[in-house]
Amino acid sequence: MDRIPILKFGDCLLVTIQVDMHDQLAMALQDDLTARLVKERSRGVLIDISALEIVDSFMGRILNNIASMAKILDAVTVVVGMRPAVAITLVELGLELPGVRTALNVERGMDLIRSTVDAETASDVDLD
Amino acid sequence: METLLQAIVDNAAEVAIIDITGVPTVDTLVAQHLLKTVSAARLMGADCIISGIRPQIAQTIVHLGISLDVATKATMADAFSLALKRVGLGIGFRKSQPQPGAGAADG
Repeated sequence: MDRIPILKFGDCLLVTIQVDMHDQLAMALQDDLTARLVKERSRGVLIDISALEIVDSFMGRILNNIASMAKILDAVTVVVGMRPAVAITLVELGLELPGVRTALNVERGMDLIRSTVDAETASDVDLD
Repeated sequence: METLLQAIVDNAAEVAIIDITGVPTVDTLVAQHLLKTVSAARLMGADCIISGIRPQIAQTIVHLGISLDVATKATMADAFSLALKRVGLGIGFRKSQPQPGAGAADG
């Protein structure tokens, strides 16, 4: 069975979804990503869905789940490159993904992760 | 909604201001559509600001029991200055004023 590749990029994990997601693939991604997060001790997850044309309620829930799981594992999740049609679909489905941070493209998503992680690190230092 | 979202992509916008000065009445349907647009824009990574809410509309929204979970400003000017602040820009006076006549062409 094919899987979505997860790339390590510094202290972040990079997931680019290039194929149409089916439910099994989404579940596998969820498993792989949580495993990698623990293994690499990453601070951020960037999910690029710019190639994704169809997002159903299941996929929306998986995105939300991934964000919640990443949060428990002390990482921020940023979803980037969502197409207008996909955004409208998700909103019409009532899935507004409150736990997920979003950005327009990979560059801005990376900036968002950097600034969030840096802010958290800075506040950690303040506690010492 | 589609027009705004496409414009966000085309212009790589960080902030979108929705000015509803020209909207005579806001009922539940209009408010719901506004909220959907704001949510969709957020999913695409853009912040929304709603401006131009007239007192009557503010009252209607509260009476209808709708909670607008977005930044709202009374005027377009306020919304614009908040948008500038969000992208890290601002408008202010220069410390050294150009001599009258000398810098007229520069504006």
